[in-house]
Amino acid sequence: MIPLRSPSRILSILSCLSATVVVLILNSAHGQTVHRSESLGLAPGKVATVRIHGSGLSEAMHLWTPFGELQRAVRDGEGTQSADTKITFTGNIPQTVVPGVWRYRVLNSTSTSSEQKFVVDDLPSHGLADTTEDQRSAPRIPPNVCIDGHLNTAKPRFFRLDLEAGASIAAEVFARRIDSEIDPVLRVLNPDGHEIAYCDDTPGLFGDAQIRVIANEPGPYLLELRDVKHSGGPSHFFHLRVGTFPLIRGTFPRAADTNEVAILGEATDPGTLLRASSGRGFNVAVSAPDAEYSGLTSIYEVEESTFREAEPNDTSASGNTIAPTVRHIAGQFQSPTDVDWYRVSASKGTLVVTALTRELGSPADVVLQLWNDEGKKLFESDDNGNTDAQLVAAVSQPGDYFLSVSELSGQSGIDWTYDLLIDRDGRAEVFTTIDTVLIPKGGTASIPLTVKRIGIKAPLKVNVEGLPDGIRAQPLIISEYQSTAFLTLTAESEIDSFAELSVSCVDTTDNRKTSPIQVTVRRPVDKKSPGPFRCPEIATNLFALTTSPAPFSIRPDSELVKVSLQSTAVIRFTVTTNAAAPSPIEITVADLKNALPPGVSIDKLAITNGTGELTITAAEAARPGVFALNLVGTRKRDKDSETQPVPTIMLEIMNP
Amino acid sequence: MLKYWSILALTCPYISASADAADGNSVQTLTVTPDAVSLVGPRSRQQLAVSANSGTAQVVDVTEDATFISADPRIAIVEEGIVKPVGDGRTTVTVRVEDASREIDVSVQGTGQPSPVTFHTEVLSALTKAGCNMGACHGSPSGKGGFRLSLRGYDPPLDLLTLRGEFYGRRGNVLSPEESLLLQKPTMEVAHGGGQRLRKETSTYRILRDWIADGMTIEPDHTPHLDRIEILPAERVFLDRGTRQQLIVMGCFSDGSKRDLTDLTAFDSSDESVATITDSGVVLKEGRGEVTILGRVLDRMATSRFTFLNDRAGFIWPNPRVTNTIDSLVYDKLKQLQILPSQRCTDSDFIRRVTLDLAGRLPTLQELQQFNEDRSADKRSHLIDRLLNSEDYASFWSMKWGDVLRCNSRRLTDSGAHKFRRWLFDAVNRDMPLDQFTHELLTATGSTQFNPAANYWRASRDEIDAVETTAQLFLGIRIQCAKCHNHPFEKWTQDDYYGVAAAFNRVGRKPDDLPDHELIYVRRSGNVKQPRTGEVMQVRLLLQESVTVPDDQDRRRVFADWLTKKTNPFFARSLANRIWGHLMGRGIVEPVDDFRDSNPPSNAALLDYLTNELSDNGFSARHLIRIILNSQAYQRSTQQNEFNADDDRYFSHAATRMLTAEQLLDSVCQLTGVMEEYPGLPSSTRAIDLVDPPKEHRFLQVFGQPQRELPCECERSTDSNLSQALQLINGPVIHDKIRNEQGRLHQWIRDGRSNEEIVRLLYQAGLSRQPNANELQIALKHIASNKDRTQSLEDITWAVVNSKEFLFQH
Repeated sequence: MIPLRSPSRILSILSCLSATVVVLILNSAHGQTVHRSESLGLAPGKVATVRIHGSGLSEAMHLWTPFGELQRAVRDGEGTQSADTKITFTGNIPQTVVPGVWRYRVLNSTSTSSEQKFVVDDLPSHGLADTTEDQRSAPRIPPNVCIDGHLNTAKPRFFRLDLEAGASIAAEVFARRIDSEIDPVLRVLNPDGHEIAYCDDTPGLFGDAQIRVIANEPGPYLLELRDVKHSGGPSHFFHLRVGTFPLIRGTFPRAADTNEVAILGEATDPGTLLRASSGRGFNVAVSAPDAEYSGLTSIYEVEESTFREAEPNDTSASGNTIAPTVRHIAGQFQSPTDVDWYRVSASKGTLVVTALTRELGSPADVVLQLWNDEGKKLFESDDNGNTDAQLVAAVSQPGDYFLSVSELSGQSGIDWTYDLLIDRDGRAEVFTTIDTVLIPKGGTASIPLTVKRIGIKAPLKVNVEGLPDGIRAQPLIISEYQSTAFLTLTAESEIDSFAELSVSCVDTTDNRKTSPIQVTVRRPVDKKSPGPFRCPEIATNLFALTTSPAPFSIRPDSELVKVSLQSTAVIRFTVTTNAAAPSPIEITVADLKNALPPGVSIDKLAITNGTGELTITAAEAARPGVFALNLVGTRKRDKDSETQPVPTIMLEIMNP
Repeated sequence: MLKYWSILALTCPYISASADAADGNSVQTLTVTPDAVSLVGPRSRQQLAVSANSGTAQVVDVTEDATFISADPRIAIVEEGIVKPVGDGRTTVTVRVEDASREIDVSVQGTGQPSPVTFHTEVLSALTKAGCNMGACHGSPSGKGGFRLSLRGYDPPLDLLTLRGEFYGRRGNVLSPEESLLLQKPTMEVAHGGGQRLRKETSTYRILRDWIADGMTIEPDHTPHLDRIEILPAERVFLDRGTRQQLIVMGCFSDGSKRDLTDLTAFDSSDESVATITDSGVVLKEGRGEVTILGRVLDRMATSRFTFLNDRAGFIWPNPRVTNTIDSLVYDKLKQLQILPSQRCTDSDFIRRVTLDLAGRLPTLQELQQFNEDRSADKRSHLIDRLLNSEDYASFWSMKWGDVLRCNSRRLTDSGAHKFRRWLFDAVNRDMPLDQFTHELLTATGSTQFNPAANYWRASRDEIDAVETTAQLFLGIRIQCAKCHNHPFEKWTQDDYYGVAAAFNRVGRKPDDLPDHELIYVRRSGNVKQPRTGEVMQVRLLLQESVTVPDDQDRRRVFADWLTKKTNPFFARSLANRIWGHLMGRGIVEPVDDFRDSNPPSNAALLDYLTNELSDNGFSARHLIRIILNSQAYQRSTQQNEFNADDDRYFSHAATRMLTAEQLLDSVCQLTGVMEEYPGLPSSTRAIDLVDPPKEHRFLQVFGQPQRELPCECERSTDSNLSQALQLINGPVIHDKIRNEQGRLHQWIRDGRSNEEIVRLLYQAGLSRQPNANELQIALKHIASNKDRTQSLEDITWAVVNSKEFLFQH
């Protein structure tokens, strides 16, 4: 096990680096598409140059990262087509930044690119030569180097390495892990042109590849990097590392709150382990005594303490006993027939066991089964679909149960790890389908939240962290009867701002102590047109940015409205519009499932300018409680219409 | 000559004597089969077969010429060689041919006992023998003329119901059996679309008539059932005088009894150009060669093998060089059949042939030079070893596996196909033992991303496909017919088919979280039912009992363990034959995936040897290929002689084969120095490296590149057609490559090489040899007669490409 330094969370870094709010010059919205980046000097303590390739980039101003912004370096070819597709940023990289995968966005005054990833590396960086596409003219590269580049269709990249006999060299490619379309292959040819090493997929790397070669003879070796099916294009980018560093495939556990993890990879004695948060978890840079540079991996951060599987636990009788306070279990499949057993106490209610494997990089696909003490199988996880397993057990008798964990297809090895989260009193999951929200200045933007409740009927209070000055989140409680709600953010009219947000929910049921529920981003997938590749890891970061002023805004006079059963209440709205000859703005219920609580109705309201009142009626059948009331304002102009969300109003329905 | 006959006499117990022996034609002793007859019941019978031994161990069948005299006709009589009962008791029958005679004992009992016709054994056999229930007639799924029988009687309850119950029982007239439709139609007393199938004097007619007369009953359950049949003689070799053989088919029943079923047996000949077979079981010679006679009674089968020889004037066995056991075994067969092997091929033929066979390409000029300059005696062996250890070998042979394992992006997705092809490449490159290779494919689990072998289960989407694919690829049998009914020509039953399916029906598939991939896993439940009986099938290991596999185990593993054992009667044999077929152009069993009793190996001893070599040497394909390629049999010339011109199955000469589509295209690229461009693939990609047949590549399609939709070598078309000729003569592929200024020819011209040099290089690059004086002269004359030198050299290149020597492997 390896001692880690104390964690430094992303928000603390952010708070240091983003202390000064950047004032953006207002400009027309400009769609920015980033294809890839090529970096030089993107290393801790260095001055980095990051070249962005894409489209619509001419107005870009900043390159945002969790560790600070890089500035547009040179207005190279401003106003030309070149500047639209290729721009450069520079800036200092703090010494404290831990090498690994980091996220970035390209910002202009009114919009942001989608989230992208690049690799901060402690290896010296090197530009990609054009001649790498021809095996015969493959350029010689230094013994320790990292290279950003891309692949063209049917064009592998070749690099020449001059090695002494006995030299040991590591090569690793980041592609899938940085959301590249490449399914990479690494291959090494010896001086005679014979293949001596080939790697397509290394377990634990989402399909990326690592390779180590020991030269049997001195001479020029050829390293080939290609896509497994020879595809290429703008979204086929890579970060190649070559040199003396340990090849790391991950950690065990992959999810941890602890300072001690085992390294899955070559670094059996890794020496100093550096760590720093990169967002959803934290990067870990592993150094080794005989290595000049770091091996890179990351750990998913969980709040709970971890119980590690202890073999032998291959039968229910020898199963590991899990204390009632333990929520997180980590294990490994040691052999093809390995079945891990745990004795779990459960009270009456819904026991939920959620596996985390593929999303954390483990190739394992687990099957969860719950047994009683008579050896009868009571519940089993569903193995359909491609999501990680989840076992939901309706427990009628409090007591001890036996949880068995096996690998669906009998795969095993140290990389075949799993992490389990145990919820003994039901579980709620909250997710959103967007990761970026543009808030019009002086207006409102909404983030759709969906709640999946499993054996739980708790109202969830939403908390937002990381809000910059000038942006405010409306209070929101998603009632136990609601499965969807809008989290609304409002921006002041004169402020330009952006920030990465972290949204979580808290169960507000009295006397129930549960961990905060992190809102995750689940981008919708169109199976017919899946869009760019995204590494299937857990995403929790939302990005908020102010944009051009809203055409109109609607503000309620109160964030909380109370109404008794069989009575009515009135909400007063103030509408501000920038139109000279304003059209009426109609306020209606947002297009959301369960947008209005049962038994509650609202009148129609149309406001041209100024104020208006909306009457809410709670019938006898309405349920007392607090609900999120999501309304939207719509202004029709000729054939078009404009909409603006109304800041969320909490509606409290009371007994008379 | 005498020496040869003595060898044959030693190896074949029934070998006939030399026709030119002084007393060769006179019968000296007789052999009667069986040598004693026991008849039970009034309807019993026994066919006799009489063989005559002439002076020097010559054996010929003389049943037709023999006279049979019963010592007591009140006990038994003999009609046309068939002993029939008259009354209980014992007697003898004297068999006489010329001056020789033989006496056999006959016992008869039960003639006064009732002897009802059995439905299962006799009625269904009679219907089969008459052809009523064959697939083209009433055995077709929809029957014929409103009358449907199960194919060759595989479903007796259905047939009984049909015969007795349909149409209010009109098919059988119990009171007047001869007036039954079941008899009037096949005898054409009533119009019958199927023509005359029965004659009244035959036993099949009598059986059906008697069964109807008996009330169309079914025998009690305890009635002995037919276990197996035997055909006598099982094997025989004839010289000139041997032109016919009476067969006897004995049925062995579950109570231990044996009965003559010759009259109920349906016969087939494996090669009617060698011998035909009559309904009554007489084999008649049609020509020289070997033939197998298959006899079928219901679903029981047996075979008998015959070799018909003619003494070939002038044939002298030359005692050719023997390199290894392969040669000895090939020569044994050739000597027996008096086939003279061709000469050893030339070095240039050899390097071209072996490079095409192993690496799928032509030898390079450098390889050619090195080989020609090598003066060592074992330079061919060295070349074989070098090629076997090359990545080209792995590329080419993994392409072959990719063909039959259906490595295509439509089934596996693009990414899946690439990864699977690479897995195959690695397996061949590492010489993964074929038992391990097969085991890994059949038991593969996990994500196809990390375990590409699991793509076997993406290509094969259900247990039905898996049964047929696995049987064809790794057992060498085509079991498809048994899906709907017991196999009509083989021993495989529906129980076998669905029993094997039970090994594969628990394969689970679900999408992987990475695009383009699937996760293969083993489900713990799910069963296969035999559709006819409704029985839940256990895993069946062919020719063995079914095995019960616990639910927590992978049924595939049980099957794969059995399949890949050294003792498995199918596995090593089918793979050895497949490898031999790839190298020699024809399997010892041909087609290579169609092993069956009625399709015997052309050289069983050779196949046995190759099988053992494969399994005894760690199932190393490389080992087997190496010994085959080092044999003289492989290194024979394609040039035939007067004694082997008609041989196409005993490997007396090399087979001339057209290059495969991929070999041909790569060869054109290699000769011209202009690579083919495949969309989305690097410019260095060769056709043999393709992971997937290109969607629109006219040249490859025209020359028969398989689309990889079938697990069968037969998907690769070997037919020639007009489109091929057009492609070669004036197609854009050939034309553009020859004229390409970046090509080899133009480079040679730019290098200032002389016409003669270039012509020589073209011959070496394309045909692996120097042009002879005549060819050189013609070429130079053509060049000299044209004003445009470049164009005339392009003409010469075109001529080389269009020569048979280039287009064919020889």
